[in-house]
Amino acid sequence: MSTEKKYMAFRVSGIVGLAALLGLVLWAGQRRQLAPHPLDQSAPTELERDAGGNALKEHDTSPLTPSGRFENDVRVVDYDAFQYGFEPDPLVVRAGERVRLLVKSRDVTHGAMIPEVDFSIEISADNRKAAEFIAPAKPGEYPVFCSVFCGPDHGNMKGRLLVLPPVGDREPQHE
Amino acid sequence: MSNLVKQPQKPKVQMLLLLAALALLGLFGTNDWQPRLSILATSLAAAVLGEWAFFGAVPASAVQSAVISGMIVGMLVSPGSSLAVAWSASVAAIASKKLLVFQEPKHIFNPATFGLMVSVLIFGNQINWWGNSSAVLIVIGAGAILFRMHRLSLPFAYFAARALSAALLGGVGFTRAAFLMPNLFFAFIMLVEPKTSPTKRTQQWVFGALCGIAATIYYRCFPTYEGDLAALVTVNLLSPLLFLVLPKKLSMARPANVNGRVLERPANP
Repeated sequence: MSTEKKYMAFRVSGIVGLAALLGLVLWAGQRRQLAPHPLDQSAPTELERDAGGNALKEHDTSPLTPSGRFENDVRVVDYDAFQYGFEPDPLVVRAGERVRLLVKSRDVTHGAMIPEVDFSIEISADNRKAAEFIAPAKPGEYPVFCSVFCGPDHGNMKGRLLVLPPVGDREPQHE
Repeated sequence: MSNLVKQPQKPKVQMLLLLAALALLGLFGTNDWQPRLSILATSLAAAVLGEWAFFGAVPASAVQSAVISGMIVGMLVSPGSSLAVAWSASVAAIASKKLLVFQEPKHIFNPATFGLMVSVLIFGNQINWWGNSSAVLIVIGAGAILFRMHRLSLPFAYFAARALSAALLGGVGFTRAAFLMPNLFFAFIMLVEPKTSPTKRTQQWVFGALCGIAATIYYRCFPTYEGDLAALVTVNLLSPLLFLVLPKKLSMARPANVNGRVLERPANP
């Protein structure tokens, strides 16, 4: 094969290959978009007011109960991160209580950051890590962010920390 | 047989082996290896196919360069990203070698950096440097390669300037600035690309220092973008201007071009 023909053969195969690869990439992207969402994010909430006194989102009217379980004066919550959200959402706790999050990532590396309580943790896929914080003393809603770039919609990956007023009596040990 | 023995002695092949080792560490150190592998495979395939599409039949060394660019792109794009990001970054990287040229065969921009910046502008910042998987391997492996190539001044200059400027402009302690701010992968693997960085030691210090300072400024002014990559693109673009402004001894002069043939760059003293 002459040099010129060889040059053209490589160019054509390169262009065709790039086009085919692009088609494959777009097809894979479309399949990912059509895939069912990993979970139903709906969670029971009620009309509450956030730290600034603004009305929170109205959902159903079921009463709020704190997330997870209460063990040895610590609220223990299994908290999952995934593209692009957290579960449970909202994360419901009582004001001032000690909260231990067992954070897990379901897909890629994520971070969970709650600026209000200076809480930040990075978690790789399919791992679970434990970390604690003290819930804010003021009842209301606080944002939870993903602190590690995790995909195109990373900027919209947000959760909510909902802080309920403290109860007068100690909660039962196992809710 | 002798070719097989000689190949690993070439800096380009050594850099390829180093990148492969870093990629393997990045893949096996985590559970999201599948999206990482998909990104890496896409960027590698796009880079090699792009090399053929833009340059036709090329020698093995050119394919090796394309593989290096593709690997760098794949090892920086976040595993959660669309594969289109990796594809477009790789194609832009190779296209820049063909289309953005001052003086054949020298391209203006570091290909991988340029491609990634194009992807940042199109898709937003989807870079997370997952290939920066072993600081020890980068410093020792890339350090040895750069020592042989007389290019160690570049990362050192970048390090010093980045740490100093972060401490001065960013108000962070110098120790923290020195150990946390500079990006090893960027300094030892991306900054040192032979065709887009100077050969003389004084020039390397100027080039590296400018990158370090520019990176700090970019990170302060545009924290959501990749300051290091933006800095390298800027300094690549400014190199010819520096050639005019700086004294001859410090200038970013490109090697002499005799009868259309670029002479080999002299080794540093």
